[in-house]
Amino acid sequence: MSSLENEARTFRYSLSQRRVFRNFDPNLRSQEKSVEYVRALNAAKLDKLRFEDQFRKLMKLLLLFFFFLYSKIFARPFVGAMDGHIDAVSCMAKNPNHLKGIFSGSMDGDIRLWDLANRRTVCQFPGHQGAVRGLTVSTDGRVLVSCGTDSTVRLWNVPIPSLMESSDNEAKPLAVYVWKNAFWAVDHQWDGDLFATAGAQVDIWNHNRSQPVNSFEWGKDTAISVRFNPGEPNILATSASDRSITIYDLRLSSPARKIIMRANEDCNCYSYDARKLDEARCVHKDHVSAVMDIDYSPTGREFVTGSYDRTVRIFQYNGGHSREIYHTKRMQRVFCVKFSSDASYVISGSDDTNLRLWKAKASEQLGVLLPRERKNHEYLEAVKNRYKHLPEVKRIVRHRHLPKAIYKAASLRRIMTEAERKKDERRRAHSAPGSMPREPLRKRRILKEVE
Amino acid sequence: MGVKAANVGRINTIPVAEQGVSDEEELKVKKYLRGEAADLGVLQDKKLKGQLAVREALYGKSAQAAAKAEKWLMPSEGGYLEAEGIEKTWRIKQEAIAGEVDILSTRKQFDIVLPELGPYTLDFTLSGRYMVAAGRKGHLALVDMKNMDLVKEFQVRETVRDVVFLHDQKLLAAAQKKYVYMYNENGTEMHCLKEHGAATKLQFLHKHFLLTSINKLGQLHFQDITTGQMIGNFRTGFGRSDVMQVNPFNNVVTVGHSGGTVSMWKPTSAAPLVKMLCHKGPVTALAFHSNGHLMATAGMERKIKLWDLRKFEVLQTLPGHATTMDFSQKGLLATATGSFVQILGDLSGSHEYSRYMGHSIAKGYQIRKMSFRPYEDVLAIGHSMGWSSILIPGSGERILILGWQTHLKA
Repeated sequence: MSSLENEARTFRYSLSQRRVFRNFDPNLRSQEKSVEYVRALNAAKLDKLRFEDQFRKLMKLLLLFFFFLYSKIFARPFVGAMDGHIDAVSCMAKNPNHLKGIFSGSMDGDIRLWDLANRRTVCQFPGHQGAVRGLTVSTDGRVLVSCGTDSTVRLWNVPIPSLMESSDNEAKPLAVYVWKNAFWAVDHQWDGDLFATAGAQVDIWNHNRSQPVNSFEWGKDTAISVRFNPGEPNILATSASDRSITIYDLRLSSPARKIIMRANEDCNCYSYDARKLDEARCVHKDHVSAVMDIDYSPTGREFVTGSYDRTVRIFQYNGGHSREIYHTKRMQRVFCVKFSSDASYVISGSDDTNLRLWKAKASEQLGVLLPRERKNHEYLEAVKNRYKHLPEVKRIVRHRHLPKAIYKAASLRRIMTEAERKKDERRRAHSAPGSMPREPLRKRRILKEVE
Repeated sequence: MGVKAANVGRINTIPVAEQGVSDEEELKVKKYLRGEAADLGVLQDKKLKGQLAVREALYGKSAQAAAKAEKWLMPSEGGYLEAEGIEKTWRIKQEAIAGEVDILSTRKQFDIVLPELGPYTLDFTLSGRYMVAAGRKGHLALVDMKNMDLVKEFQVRETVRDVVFLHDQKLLAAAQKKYVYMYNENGTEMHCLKEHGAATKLQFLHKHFLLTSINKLGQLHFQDITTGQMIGNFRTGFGRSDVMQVNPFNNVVTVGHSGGTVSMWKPTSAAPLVKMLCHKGPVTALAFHSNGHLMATAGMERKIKLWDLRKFEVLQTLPGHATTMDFSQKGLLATATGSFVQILGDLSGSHEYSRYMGHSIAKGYQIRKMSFRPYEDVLAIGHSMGWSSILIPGSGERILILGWQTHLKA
């Protein structure tokens, strides 16, 4: 014979650490699935509350009462804007060694270091005569490299974080290397002291040499972006204005591989396996205008894109459609985006001279979470994930409010692709069987691969 | 990839050393698995197959963990009375039990004698902590069963046919002479629910926040107590009834009628989901097992029947009258008629209910309502002279489930 009360007597625990017994018996939890489904539905609604217009009126009332409570729950991804530049922001670089510092360069030659926590400029790096096109920071976080259309590469000392408190510092370049052509991009090697610039050719530089240590050229066209492989420090990839993506190996004297694509600026992102370039691993569709910049999350599970259509989107590394779209009325063409080094924020730089700070998860609660709060969030996330295929949950989770222009452009694109597909189907129906093999979009866009 | 491995893993993740002892544990794991694994072999989509395999492996692991938690962390084992030699469990008296159990449990054996305002009907909160007792002549008492405190008692000075707790002890509903009334824990009248009419029986659907009543005209009402909206108002068409019970498994409201029919209702359909002819005489009592597929009905023709609700078939017919019945959390069935209580149990595990315990209260007392107290080995009996509480070993669950009181309103 026993009961709860007896147990309470037997185990003498203080109130603060009272032992909680849980009974997991399914027989006691009647209508388990229905309850979980309703919880999933409610979780999905809470996450999306900001986007539901019919809630606006209700919200105004609620806000008065529950401002502090609800401000945590509503999906409000926009954290703040950082203004200071006087021309469009063209490039950004994050400091691998310092979480809250970010560098931005603008079209008028201004480079700034921002403190993300205070959203203020802490340091300026004057010197460039034309637009700054590329920024990068060495892996140890000591040296900032910038390049621009004034054909110079400049190396700067990154101010140490303790000095970052005082604002409006002006730094002097460590070195200025003048070269023959304008630069479009720069990227630093991981765990090394080399960096690569992209322009009329791809140049590999050393910090201490005023001339490139190596130059690569393949074809006559300008390389417009360059990125080092974080896992293999000697491999880098560039994209060029002749629709090609080229992979270089620093240990070889000539470029390693190159693919030429049928389309550029088709608003899609393509993920490739670098070992197997004849087919994209995934095509990420959703943007309605050219994608200007991509940055992977440090976890590698998702990436953020900024586009000429004035939106920022976040994609899963293997997801065909975006998981999130960010836009504001005032944000213009987005030129550069970065994921913060802790994967919890996204920074975008745009034509309207502002940097904008967004949460990577729109409805994430900021600040320190109590263990029970965290567990609750995890639980709600899990039930939402479990019931995501059910129509009502799916509808709420998928719904995003879009600016009219983007909504219209997207539907137009949908009509166009549908028409294309239909025409293709008709052609196929009227030609000899097998004469028009089906090719997935992953392969269709790739013109050829050159070794 | 992991598809096969995961399927195997779900059954066979116990280390070799423990496999010998784990027959009983395997049974428990099976309970927590909530059914068979999905057959992934037929799937064409590789990606989906992989994702589902991961899911299934996770379910397997969590079932294992739950079984382990039950084995090691449950504070104590529940057990039934065991007879030695020619002893019979149903001959063991409450006095004999009182001598064997601890002091705290003996305090749960008591009789409250209230001769004036009975007979009494009872209801417990979901946690079993509070009880409300209502005398037919208008006496309502709210009792804290943990420290045996009378929280509040008051007189409504008219007939009270039934009483239920709403979502917790803070609100209760009483079916009175003409209308249904809602009271708070201080005895303040909160609402008069006129639309229900002269209700004979009340039930509360905890997950949906619906107060359900059947009235003298045989009308069934479902009212949302959060907004006051009347969700459903159906004519049963079987006449007056005062036998109504909610199936706790799927929250279907079941009504027993004087023609021997049992009908099942949900608030979204005006026609009964099921009509079944259970007895040749009027149905006098109904009860549901918490697993949802066992229903007990009692009829005037001196029969108690156990039904399998999955097949709508009689499993067992027992002789006897019952004016009130209740299933305990562990599946014991209490039946009562006149002043005699009988507890039936499926002790052999062969789905045959047989006599487990019996109890007679003083002769002449008429039992009106009987209810097992949740999470305790206690049966509360409301009768014409007050209410009593007796010990039924092995009837209640050991541990309160926490955090499962959410309702289904989206």
